Amino acid sequence: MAKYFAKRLLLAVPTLFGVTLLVFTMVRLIPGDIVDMLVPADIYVGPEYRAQMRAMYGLDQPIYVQYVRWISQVAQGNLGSSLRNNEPIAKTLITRLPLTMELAFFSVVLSALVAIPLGIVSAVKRNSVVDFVARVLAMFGLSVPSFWLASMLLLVTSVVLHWQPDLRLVPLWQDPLTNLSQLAMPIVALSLALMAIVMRMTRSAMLEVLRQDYMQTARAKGLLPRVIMVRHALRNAFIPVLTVLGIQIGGLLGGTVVIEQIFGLPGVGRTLLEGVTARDYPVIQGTVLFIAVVFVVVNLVVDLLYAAVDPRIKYG
Amino acid sequence: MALSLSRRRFVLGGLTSALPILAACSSAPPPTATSAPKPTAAPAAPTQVPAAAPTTAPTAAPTTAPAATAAGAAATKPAAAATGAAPAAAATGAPAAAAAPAPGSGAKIINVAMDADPVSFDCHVQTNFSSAQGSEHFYESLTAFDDKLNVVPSIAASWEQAKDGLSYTFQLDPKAKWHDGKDVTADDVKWTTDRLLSPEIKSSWAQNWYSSVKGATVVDQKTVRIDLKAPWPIGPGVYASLRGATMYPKDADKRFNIKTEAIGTGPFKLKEFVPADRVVYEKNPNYRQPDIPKVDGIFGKIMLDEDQRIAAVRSGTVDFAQISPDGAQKLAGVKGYQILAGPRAWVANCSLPYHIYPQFKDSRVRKAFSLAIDRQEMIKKSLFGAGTLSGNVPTSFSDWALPDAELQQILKRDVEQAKELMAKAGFPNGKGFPKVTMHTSAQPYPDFISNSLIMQQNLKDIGVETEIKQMEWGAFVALGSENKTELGFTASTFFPDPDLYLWPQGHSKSANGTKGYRHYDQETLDKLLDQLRSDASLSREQRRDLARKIDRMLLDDPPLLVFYNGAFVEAVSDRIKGYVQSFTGRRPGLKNVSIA
Repeated sequence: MAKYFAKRLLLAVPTLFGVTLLVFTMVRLIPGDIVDMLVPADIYVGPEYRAQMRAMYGLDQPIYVQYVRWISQVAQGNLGSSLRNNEPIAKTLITRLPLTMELAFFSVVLSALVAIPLGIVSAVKRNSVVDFVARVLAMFGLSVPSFWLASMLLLVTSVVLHWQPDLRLVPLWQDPLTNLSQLAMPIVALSLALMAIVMRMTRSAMLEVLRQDYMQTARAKGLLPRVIMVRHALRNAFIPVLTVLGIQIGGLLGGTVVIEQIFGLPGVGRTLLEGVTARDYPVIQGTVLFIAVVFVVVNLVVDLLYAAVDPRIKYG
Repeated sequence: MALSLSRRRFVLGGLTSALPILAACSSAPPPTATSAPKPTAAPAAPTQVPAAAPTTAPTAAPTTAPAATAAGAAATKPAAAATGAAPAAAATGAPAAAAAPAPGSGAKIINVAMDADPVSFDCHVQTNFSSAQGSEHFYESLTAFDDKLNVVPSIAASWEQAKDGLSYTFQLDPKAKWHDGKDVTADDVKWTTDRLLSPEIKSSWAQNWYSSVKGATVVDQKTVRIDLKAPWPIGPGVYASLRGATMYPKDADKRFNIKTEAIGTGPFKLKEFVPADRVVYEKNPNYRQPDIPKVDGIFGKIMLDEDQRIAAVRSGTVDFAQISPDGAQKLAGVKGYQILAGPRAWVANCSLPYHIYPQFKDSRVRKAFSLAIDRQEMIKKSLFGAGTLSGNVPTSFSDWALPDAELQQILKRDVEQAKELMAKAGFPNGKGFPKVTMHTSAQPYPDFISNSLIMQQNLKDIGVETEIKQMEWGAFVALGSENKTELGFTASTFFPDPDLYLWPQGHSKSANGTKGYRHYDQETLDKLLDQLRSDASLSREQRRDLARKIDRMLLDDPPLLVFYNGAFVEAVSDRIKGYVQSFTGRRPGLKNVSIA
């Protein structure tokens, strides 16, 4: 396993290198830069002054020089500082990561808690009313954009319940109930689509497994239906579900961009959006690289979890 | 066996490690406390007042206070956060002399939904309005505006202009103190001025509003002279605007992170700034004006999404929220709040592309475009009625602006006359006129899109075809920087003097002038604009008449198409007493409010 782990870590290097190249190039393809944002056209300063400002931010250098400078910094563990307020990007991300992780974690937990049992029931009771309702709900979850759901949650809770969470975010470790009540709406908004995907994946994987010969063997041996479902069916069906959940955790880190904006949450997604809006290149580059690293790590963990779920899988 | 054990260990290990991760998965932890600014040497004793007689020279005549229109029931609804729990996070660099109100302590805290993130409090470098909005409660300047837009003393108790108009001498208020307890001295003002003008920080304000400033000279510890390159009648007003005018303590950039921390002189201290989340202010108990502020602090929650601000109002979570006219419709009838819609500076307009289409160099074409526009329809549909007609100088800006009755005449829609002018310019029924692109962005101002749609229809009536191109805000701004905007929809916010609305539009040396705008009587226009800008001998009334004359000239041959002046729409909780909206679009009135 250690060898496999090391191999995967080595493979992550070119992946992340590719990410740095891609994000560095793509942010510079977006029209405008930090100077345009700081000095809009209605503040007339003349082209010479703008050129001086660009030189101050190092934007007058050829793009490869800028890239080498940045990647050298990154190699030394320095993601750079925001062009707008000089805050070190690593510090900003570390400050904001816990909130985004909490959102992603509880979204996955909520999705799994609802979708996996529903998927199992739906598969076992195929073509029943339960199955039909579950499939309709899954279609709804897939069709509804999270930003719309977020807006609806804001509307319903404020108009019907006259309730909104307190403005001051309370840390989870300080008061878990209050914290979860503050994040309940964004978690629900984030998890609905994931719920639908996981439910459908669980259902189809279960249907596939239920058709296998070993299931008939298990029944013939007289095992309890609960044991058959949990030990033989679900365990075998779980690998694709786990894959989806793993990918979605990574995806959720980026997917929180809109949700964090709507609910005014200072997370990683919002950092990225702010960076893009202000053309704060180091912030965009640092945040995307950070998300890519998390994505790679989560995928590695999921791959390792396969072995824990399925004894047939061995690494090394 | 070995594999099985390994798997179990793996799963158990994973679960065990998940617990601390869960614990860490909390909301943003308290920001790391940074070093507090070091105390400086004891302030020098106040010295003699200069011989010159101090003045308080208001540059704007008193006008009526912004008339707030109120909607919604008067029933007071206690806001959920009325008890003002202090955030758990520790304060950042700015010293916190006063203890933060503890949760449940009954401290009087105002909860404000901030519609923009200040990003940085380096007001010399930042041009975004949110930076001024975020810092206005703890930073001050030499002068300030009162509710009626008179320029009044602030850190400076008085000032006078030299006879040749080439300097201002400011006498600092002996009671003015920094939040760390030090006296405000002339050295601070000099350092601030030097920094603003320093080529190292590349302040665009220094290139613009402060381009007449040569430097500052310390006369004595409480007297400072601002030396000028040319007479600068708008100077005291420019300082009052707080744009690029924030006063910092000497060596501020070495003592604390000037972008995220603050030591100011204002009625509130910056207790905590967490970008993208909150700005927390606490009362400055040593403020030089007695009994101000009347509350213990302000909790500013950054809520960029209007739906969230509206939900916060509906649920009674915030005391203040700026909303769009559309948002005000959604909040109609909400209990416990008033919807205020007082005047502010928000002159919506559309730039013209002289540099791209030579057709716009013909004043008849420009005038025809202006005549073709139905501004009343824009006010009705883009602002839901929350606006008024405006010239280049925004309506209700003291008495600088043209009277409404006159604007009704000048800006009246007249399609026939517009067609006639187009025909005279060689484009009968728009024939031969190029298809122009309207560049616009809905972020963050949806009225721009609406204006473009209305104008597109209006221009069709004179045979002019256009194409609307909606853009992301950054791309829109970048297009402007590259001088590639054709018909560009935007708005002017608050500028402290009419000169700053007029000169940049009409002077031959302005950006418009360099792009090719020439008034049919440019020579006279330049002369008048120069006089308004630098003739220090003019009285207040003479300047007003001059500004109005220029505004008439610009409306008659428009360098850009002015639409309207939009209202400052806010939802304000009934528990807030004594709040007056500001024409500046900021909230200086918060220092005077109390909580019922």
